Amino acid sequence: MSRGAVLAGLALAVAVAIAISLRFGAVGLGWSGVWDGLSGNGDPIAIAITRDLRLPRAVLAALVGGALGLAGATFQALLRNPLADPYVLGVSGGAAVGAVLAIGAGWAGVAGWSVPVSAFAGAALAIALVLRIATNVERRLDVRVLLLSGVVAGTFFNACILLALSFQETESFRAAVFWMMGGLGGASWQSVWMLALALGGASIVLFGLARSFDLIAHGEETAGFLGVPVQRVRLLAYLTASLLTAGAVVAAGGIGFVGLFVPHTVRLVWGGGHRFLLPATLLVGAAFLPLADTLARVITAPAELPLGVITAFVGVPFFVLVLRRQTRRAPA
Amino acid sequence: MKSRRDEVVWRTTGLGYRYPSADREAIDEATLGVGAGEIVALVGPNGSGKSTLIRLLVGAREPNRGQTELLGRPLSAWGALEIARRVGIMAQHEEPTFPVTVRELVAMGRYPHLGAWRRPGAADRRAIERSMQRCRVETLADRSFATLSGGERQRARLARALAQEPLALVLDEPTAALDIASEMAIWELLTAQAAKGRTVLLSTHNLNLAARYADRLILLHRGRVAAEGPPEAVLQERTLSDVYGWPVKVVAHPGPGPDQGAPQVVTLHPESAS
Amino acid sequence: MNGPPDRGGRSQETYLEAFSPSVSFAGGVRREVGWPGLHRLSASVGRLFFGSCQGGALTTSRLLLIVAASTLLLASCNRPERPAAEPSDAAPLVRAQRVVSLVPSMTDAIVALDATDRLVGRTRYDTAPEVADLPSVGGGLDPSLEALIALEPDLVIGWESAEYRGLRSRLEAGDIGFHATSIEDTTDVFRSLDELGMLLDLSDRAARLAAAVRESLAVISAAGLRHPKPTVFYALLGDPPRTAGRRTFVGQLIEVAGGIPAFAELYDGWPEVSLEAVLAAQPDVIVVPADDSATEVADALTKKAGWRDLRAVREGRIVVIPTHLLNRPGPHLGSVARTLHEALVDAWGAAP
Repeated sequence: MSRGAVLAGLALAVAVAIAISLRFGAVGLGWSGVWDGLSGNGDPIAIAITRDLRLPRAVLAALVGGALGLAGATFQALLRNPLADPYVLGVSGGAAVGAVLAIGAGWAGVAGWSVPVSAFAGAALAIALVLRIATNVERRLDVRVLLLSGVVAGTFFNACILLALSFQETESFRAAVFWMMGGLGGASWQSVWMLALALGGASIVLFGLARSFDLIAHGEETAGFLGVPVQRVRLLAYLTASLLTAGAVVAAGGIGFVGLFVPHTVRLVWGGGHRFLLPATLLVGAAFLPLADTLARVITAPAELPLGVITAFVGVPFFVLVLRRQTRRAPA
Repeated sequence: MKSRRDEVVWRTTGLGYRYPSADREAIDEATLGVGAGEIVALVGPNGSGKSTLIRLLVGAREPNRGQTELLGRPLSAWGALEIARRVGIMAQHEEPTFPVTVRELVAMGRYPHLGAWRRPGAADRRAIERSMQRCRVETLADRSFATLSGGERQRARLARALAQEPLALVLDEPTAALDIASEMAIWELLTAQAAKGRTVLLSTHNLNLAARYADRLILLHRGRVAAEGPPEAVLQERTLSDVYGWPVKVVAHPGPGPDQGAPQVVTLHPESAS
Repeated sequence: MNGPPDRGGRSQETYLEAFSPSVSFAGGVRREVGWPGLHRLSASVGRLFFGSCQGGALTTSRLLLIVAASTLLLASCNRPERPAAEPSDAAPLVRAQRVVSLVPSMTDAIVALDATDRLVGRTRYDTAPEVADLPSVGGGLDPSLEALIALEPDLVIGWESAEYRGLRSRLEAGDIGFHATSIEDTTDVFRSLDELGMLLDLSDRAARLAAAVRESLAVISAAGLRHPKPTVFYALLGDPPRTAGRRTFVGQLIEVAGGIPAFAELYDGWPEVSLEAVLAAQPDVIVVPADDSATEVADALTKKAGWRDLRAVREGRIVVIPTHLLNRPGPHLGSVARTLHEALVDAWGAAP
């Protein structure tokens, strides 16, 4: 099957995933209920549930899944490390600090925007901090230094989170921890538009860098010899993927594993050229997350499991699989 | 062996480079030239500056002193993509992160011509197939690079450099870890390329094969050009013993074949006086 | 199954074990056979269900699945019913003269019993003027042990299920009494007044106070609301929101004030309800505990997805009650019920 056909198939899968996400939930709606709700006929409750609650949430889930997948694939290429995920450079840690502080200060109540803004500020701080630490050591953006800077930043932010949590009351403590576990409860059309814009822009930039990723993944020096401006590509990829991750985390909290195993899945099934891998990862992530969200809403209805719980549980057996397949290959 | 010096590919004057936080110059006052269609072999002990010189010549590092001209223009005036379209470079090491097939590897060589967005066309596919055939790796096209033997890998990487359709090939110790047959295969391939008019510049530890295949040798010693010229001129016992710090004797290749009489270096027992 | 309860409730069990009977069971088994025994036991159980052990990812996946499923099962267990307090707790502590209460509603009760002079310390949440001068020991769940012991109390009243990190054993060692209490619903309020009476030897006063509270609740209950009774959704805002179970004091106060709790099938604690379920239920009135003004809350809700589709939001039937009234179930139940009733009358209408 040609690569183009595969991508079309995956896009279809995204549509199906969104449809499933619309159909299932705490309140039972049949397919006809979903149809009526979307088209605006019939029961106003069904309309309200479908249009106002489930649709923005399903679309946001697809966008977040796509963003995390794309960012994950980029970080793996950028850091030349198959175990990299979008959070390895501390972006989610920074966002979490912002969110936890905002929730603790009691801003999370009725006004909806203070936590996202605070989270984004934290994420931006993390990005700047890592860049600063990494370029302090050397003027070039060396991979190992970048990774270590990310670890330093991540550890620092974790410490800040613990500090912030230790002061909090039970209610805000619970809210903060649930935020960190990830969830799409606060989905609104506003967040949908903003993330769609971010994802669109980032996709264009990163798809353009796809070929250079192939070369850089094969060897920095080799890529340089083939004409790739390695440092520029690195910096651009780092900023783009980090900002994209920040957007996803601000919208949905710290949903783990998606950015790690979706790129691997695509690579296992279809192979690794980034011109195909990047859009494919985006689409697979966009299909996966609405399904995971549906599970989260349905398993313990009417309560909701945090989304990060579902993705983590799916991620672990997946990893066992990947590990076995990797070690069965001839060592490089 | 042909050696046409009608056209100069590289010319350097007074090149100097010191690595940051190093205590001596890696390259000191290197003035040399490489002509079109030549096979030039860079030889010298470890740390003499061969890899550094190669990097300076392809613009991977900027010299502290001196100038390099590539095809008549200063190297600083060339863009990285421009250089990659004319010069195919094979570095010493490569550590791929993700599995690639040989075809995908060779296809990377088309990047300087395709850039970020252009889709590969018929010309690109032809270049890829041709270079794979020339390096005799077309049967390995769909195999994973990681599963190849040392010799096969070097041939695949050479195919990638050829896929760039460059004017010149620059190789940093391409035969370092190869067995006799694989090593000879590489040298034969390079000779065939030079015969077609491609300039070949490579660094090597194998003085004897360099003597048989290269048009000129450049002997580096502590960053300086200790000797330069055709093999007979460079491979002098006194010079070599000084540079390498080991007693050697230069003998003539016994033949049979066209290499009969070529200077061959033989190492002596450490206690032999020269 | 868990060994004899000691004075003042459970001491050896952790917070988690108190939360779930099945975890307590496992803990008990572990104490009996030890970790290796437990491992062998679970291995044989595993073999029974899944056949002999074969190598590879499949068994690993099965194992992971079992662990995951068990975690889900155990974690979702709710707290078991609390046992009634044992009177033996109170007997040796009659006439306590130096009391520190870590439970704010108990502090309120002590003040209401006119026994403020017996208090020697407070938590930082006790901000009433009568106790403001007392030294603070920190939080109710995590008080400073040093500050507490320095006050030399003879009775400390604390939460039943909190892990006090050695506080209780320290108190025992110092011969200081500890009374554990837990106040979830109105019955608990009356019971705790009773206990307090015994502990302070003020049983008459306590009985009178309890009677007064019962009386005011009865009066409000009799007043009622316009028919038909409104369904009232008590909303702890969040994504998803949480509500008061029917058996919590808030749920009961709603019933006393004349409303019907919207999610009558949810009993204990403060469970999550999906916004979809709220939409399907379309409650008549929404009660929100908040310190913002009613207009602010109503405004914000009309802008939030899902909420704005609720009839109650569109028609402005949102009641906002200050948080401090609804987070301390104590002797002021009567006035809280009255405030709630008046607000509901405002929103829904009085009975004829």
